Amino acid sequence: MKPMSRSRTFKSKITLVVMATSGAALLMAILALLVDEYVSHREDAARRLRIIARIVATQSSAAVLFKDSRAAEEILSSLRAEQELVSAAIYSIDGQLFVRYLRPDAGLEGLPPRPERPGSGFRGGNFEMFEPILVDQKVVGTFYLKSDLRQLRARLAWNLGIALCVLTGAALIAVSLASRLLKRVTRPIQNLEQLANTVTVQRDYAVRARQESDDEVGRLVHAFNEMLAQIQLRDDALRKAQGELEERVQARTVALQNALRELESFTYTISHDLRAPLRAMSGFSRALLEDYGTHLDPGGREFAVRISTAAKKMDSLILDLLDYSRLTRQEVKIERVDLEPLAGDVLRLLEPEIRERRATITLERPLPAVLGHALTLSQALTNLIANAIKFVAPGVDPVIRIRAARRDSLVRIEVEDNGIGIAPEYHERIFRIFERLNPTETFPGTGIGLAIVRRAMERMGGRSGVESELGRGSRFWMELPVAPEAPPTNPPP
Amino acid sequence: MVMANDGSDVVVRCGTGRLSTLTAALGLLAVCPARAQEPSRAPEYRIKAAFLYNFTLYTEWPADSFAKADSPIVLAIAGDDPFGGELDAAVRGKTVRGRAIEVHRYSAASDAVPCHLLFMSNAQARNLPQFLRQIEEPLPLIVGETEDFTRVGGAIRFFVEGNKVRFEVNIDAAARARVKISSKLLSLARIVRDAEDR
Repeated sequence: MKPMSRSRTFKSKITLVVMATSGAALLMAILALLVDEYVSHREDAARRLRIIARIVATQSSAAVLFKDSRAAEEILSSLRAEQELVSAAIYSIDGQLFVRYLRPDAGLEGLPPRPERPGSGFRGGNFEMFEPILVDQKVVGTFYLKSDLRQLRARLAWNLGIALCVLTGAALIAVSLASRLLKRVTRPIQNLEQLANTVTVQRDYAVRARQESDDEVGRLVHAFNEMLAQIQLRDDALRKAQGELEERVQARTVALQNALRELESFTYTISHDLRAPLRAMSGFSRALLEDYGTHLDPGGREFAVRISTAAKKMDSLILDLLDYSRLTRQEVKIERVDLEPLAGDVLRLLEPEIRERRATITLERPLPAVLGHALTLSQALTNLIANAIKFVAPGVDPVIRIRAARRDSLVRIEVEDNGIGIAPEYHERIFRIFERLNPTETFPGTGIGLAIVRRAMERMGGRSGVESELGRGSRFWMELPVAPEAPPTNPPP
Repeated sequence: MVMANDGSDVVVRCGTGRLSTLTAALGLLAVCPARAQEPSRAPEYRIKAAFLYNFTLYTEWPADSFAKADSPIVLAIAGDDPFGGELDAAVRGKTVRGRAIEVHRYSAASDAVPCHLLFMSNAQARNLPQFLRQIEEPLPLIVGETEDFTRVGGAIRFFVEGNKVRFEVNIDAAARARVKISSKLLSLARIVRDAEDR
């Protein structure tokens, strides 16, 4: 048997099973009935023919004995009524054909030339019989008959026809009945399938299948509903937990922002307030040197100079801190910034240091425009260039290149130097506040400059970083979104 | 279809049915040389002898006509015997319902009784009415060949029709002989009754 197609519906599979089993059973039953009927009818026919043969044999005995062929013919002609009879004959005692009867459509060749031993049987679909003609228990002749069992065959054909009709009818009824009854079975399953699809697509775990029965399908529906209920419970719990988590994060963020703002405010205030005593220290130490320098011995003057230097150093530290703090606090408005004038301004401001350190600075034009905050960006660029000038090996003149390249929608501004370089493991650390790699004695500074750069870029929605190796110079970079081309408010010169 | 067997019944069959038909049509009464030498009357009386024997097969005599259960059936011939040896040959060694058959010959019919079947020669048959008046019961079954045999009281009469030996039965005469003749035999006979002729 061919295996059922996988895509066949459940209903058609069951219908097929029902049809196959009931059809086979029906077929067997009908075949058995047909065979039984055929056999019994054949036996009936044979019995009737034997009786006929016996009657004819008895009736014709005198005619045979008196060799009265006319009388014998008369008896045989009465067999005409028996339409199944193909031929009949009477043989005399010496084995000669005495009289015969042939159905109009029968040929002469069907008649045996001589009588055979008494007996009957089916031969080639025909019933044949030899019956002795007895007079006073002595054989005086033989009667022969042959029947083609025409009625039996017609009956068999008729029965086969009826059987076919019954089979066809039964198949039709079975199909329609099965299809109607199976709907009851398959509908809940189809509903379940639809529901499962709905749940999968819409993620709606609140829907439930309707349980219509208490059978296996009903239990399946029940189990499915239970499963949905559990999923729904978990889904609710998950969603609740997520909501709680978000709330908590929100609250923490707010608390952190508040704390940060307080801290920044505190830093600003402290820094601001710290400058007043510093100014006094600085001012009075200078006054001491200017007004009373002559009264002090070289040791005393040295101390006064140290006080003044320390005060200055502390002031610059506080100023840097204030810058950093301001960068964090102040509002940063993003707008179009032309890099060329900005870079020019920065270089002009750094002119004294550049000249002092005999630095060579190359500005690779043209520089594109970016989206950012001009003041913040110029502060960050100032810090990068100042660092590049500062961090060179002793006796080396700084050589610095500044360029900007567009990458997709971003502009990368690079400051490349021939300085001492930074080992890769420190590339991130140096951007944190107060992180210093080198002692203050060698490279003076507050350790806030790069922290300001990073902060500035973060505030403007950009990024910052460094590519460097120890002793091979450094390339610091900043990335900002590119500004839209030629804005009408600010036409190029 | 029934094969036409005209005349072949009176002919001894010596070949196929078709051949015997042919021989009969040509008037050659037999192809068997030994029989062909016999006089033309011989086959007729051989058949009649066989008929006489056959009559005993389909006739039942009353039980009181036999002395014992195995008493023979007595066939008597009154007058000249037209059968020659044929009747003796026909009944030789044969029994009917367990009874043997004896053939007796008498010159006069009145000497023949009591017997079961009485064949009267044509000469004897002329005295049949007289004989019937004289005889006492039980009557035998009387067979003859004369034209008016059954009309004058005989039970069975042979006659030849279309070259075939046939017989007629006066069933009233048979009844008077207290014999029961089988319907099978009667179906082959021409039936006559006393009433028709009176």
